[in-house]
Amino acid sequence: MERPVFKPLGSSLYDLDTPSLFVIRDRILTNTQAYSSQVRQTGKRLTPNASIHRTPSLCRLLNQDEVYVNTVSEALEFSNVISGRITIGRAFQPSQLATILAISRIVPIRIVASSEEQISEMATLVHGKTENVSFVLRVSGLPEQRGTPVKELNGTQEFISGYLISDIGVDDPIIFLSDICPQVSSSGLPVIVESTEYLKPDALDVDFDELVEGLHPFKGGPDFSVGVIAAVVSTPESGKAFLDCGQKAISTDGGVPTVADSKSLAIERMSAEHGYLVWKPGEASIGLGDTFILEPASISDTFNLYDYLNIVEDEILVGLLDIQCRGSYS
Amino acid sequence: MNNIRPNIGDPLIELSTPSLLIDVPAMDHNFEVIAKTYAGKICKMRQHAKNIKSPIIMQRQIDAGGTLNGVCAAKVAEAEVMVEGGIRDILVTSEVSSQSKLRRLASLAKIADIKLCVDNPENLEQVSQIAVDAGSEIGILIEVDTSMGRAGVRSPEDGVLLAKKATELKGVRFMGVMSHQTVEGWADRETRFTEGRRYIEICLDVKKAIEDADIPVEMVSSGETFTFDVAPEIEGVTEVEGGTYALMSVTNGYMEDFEIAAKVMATVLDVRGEYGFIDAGLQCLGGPMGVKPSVEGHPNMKFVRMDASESCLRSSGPFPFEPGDRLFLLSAQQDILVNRWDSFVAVNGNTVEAVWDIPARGCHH
Repeated sequence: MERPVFKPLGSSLYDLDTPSLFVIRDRILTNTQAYSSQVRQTGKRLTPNASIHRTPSLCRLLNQDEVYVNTVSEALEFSNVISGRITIGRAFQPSQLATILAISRIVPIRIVASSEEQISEMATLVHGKTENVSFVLRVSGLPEQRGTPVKELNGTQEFISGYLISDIGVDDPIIFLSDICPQVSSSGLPVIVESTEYLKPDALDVDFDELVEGLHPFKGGPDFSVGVIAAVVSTPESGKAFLDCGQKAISTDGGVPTVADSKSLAIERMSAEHGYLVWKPGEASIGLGDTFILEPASISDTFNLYDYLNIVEDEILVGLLDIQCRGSYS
Repeated sequence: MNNIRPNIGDPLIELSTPSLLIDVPAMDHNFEVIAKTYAGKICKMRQHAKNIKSPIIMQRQIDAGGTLNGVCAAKVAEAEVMVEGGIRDILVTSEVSSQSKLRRLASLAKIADIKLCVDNPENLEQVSQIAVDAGSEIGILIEVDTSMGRAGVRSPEDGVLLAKKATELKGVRFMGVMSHQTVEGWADRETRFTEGRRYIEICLDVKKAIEDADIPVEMVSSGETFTFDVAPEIEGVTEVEGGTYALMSVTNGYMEDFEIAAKVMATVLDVRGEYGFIDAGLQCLGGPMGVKPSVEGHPNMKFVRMDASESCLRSSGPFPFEPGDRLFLLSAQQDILVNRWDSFVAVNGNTVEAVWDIPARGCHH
């Protein structure tokens, strides 16, 4: 696992062992409060998608008492911190029944499944063993979305407590949700929208009941709030430097990162181990050991590359959290 | 980390998914190719830990033969893991500029034979000073840029200047030169040999210039998986920094001597016509810059989309799996894949043979 040289709380952000992942405490708190307030004002419920950060302790910091996660193994970790309901985004396998029952002893669980058949099977498995598990049907609005196609909803509602619609793979979430939400809400059950990118507040005007969203603490404000600090290890030619942070330390699954607070510096590309920092000659003077903050293009994938999350405020280290669900894929 | 760990002897079908598997016979085949290729040669394999991140597996290649009993590490933390795993000869193949990391390396050099690449005189002085302060000695190799336009000296003259400096400074011992190169696309054997030789000769030009300055050069560490059989035939190359060959990836499939040994087993969650949805996504597979994995045995099946924890596949006709079926995914970039997992499940046939931790996973430092 990751083996940084830990720095004492109170150290400067710029003294952290590089590369290191950090969030800016006051910014994520402000972003979270502002977004939660906007959602509340529209009468909707907000369920944070904690799989974005995979860090149960961060939920405490953000006052998130119920969460959505992608996998059963993530739910197991979060159940030690969360006291509210945990929503799991996929059906559990029969071999995971014991884990589900164990979690349900601690917190209520809501499971999102692709079909009524899956829900029926799971309901049979938990029947008589717990009353702390409920089920939601995932509804698909596009062929390449997992779930029961919206046109196949037949009104049967046994065991189903709501419908979940995802905007995954959708070009314009507002147009998509404006079309599909009314079709689903006619069933009379709560409609939950799972946003896979940062859902802009404009979309809250669409009629649905609950929003699952996880990027708002990190993308909801004007300034960056999550970054990776990296250092220069080589300056072989003018206008080019190599950073000790490559694809293994910052995800390029969504593109190369940007350099925070800089217009003259850019990441040209990344190899597995290094980042290629470039600038126009004369626009910067960069030496060995200089540090830079990179903003990841893919936040959730970058969290998944680290075992530790540094919390900073005013460029000072104020906390260090375990990213307990890193690698919890099943 | 994953909180579900299989037991040795478990049948493959009972594993939770997704799981990162190693096909043990395929990996051992790859190790045997190296052992045979380097048998009786002066040049030996120095396997790269960045691809495998597990001393147990590195030791398996050392036991199979063809190596010099040492390994490469990309980062200081990776070197620490290898030393803790019992390997005592480490070449760190990335420049290190941080004081704290250099102190760690200098400390490690007290219990292991540590070598580090440099490309900058200021950095070399820093390494020297920290090694002196620690009372240890670090071997120095000068990195030569042969083709990739990244770190490394750009000329033999720069190499000679650095070598001279390394011989003058305390706490460091000049050992030689190193380079890393790549070949684009699906290279045939002739391209591999032509391009590989051309690049390695650039590194050897620096070696010659240093020797012409009356400085002995003990090591030339060059070559990688695509030149595993090229480099040992070039006079002067003493070791090859191969890593990908051990587990392989589909983008290196032109290296027909090796078999793909790393696979991710996934479960089909849902099927809709020609679309299938599986429980493995970007976080466990990686898709750097949009490069997608392949589905074993289904070359026409494509990834429509990779999400954080699942993916959407599309087949050319009705999706050939049912919900609950298992399929096997082959990585496009093997070391990116391995870096996302905490353990390998080693399988032989349909049975779990071992579970190997990946202690250098996440060792970015």
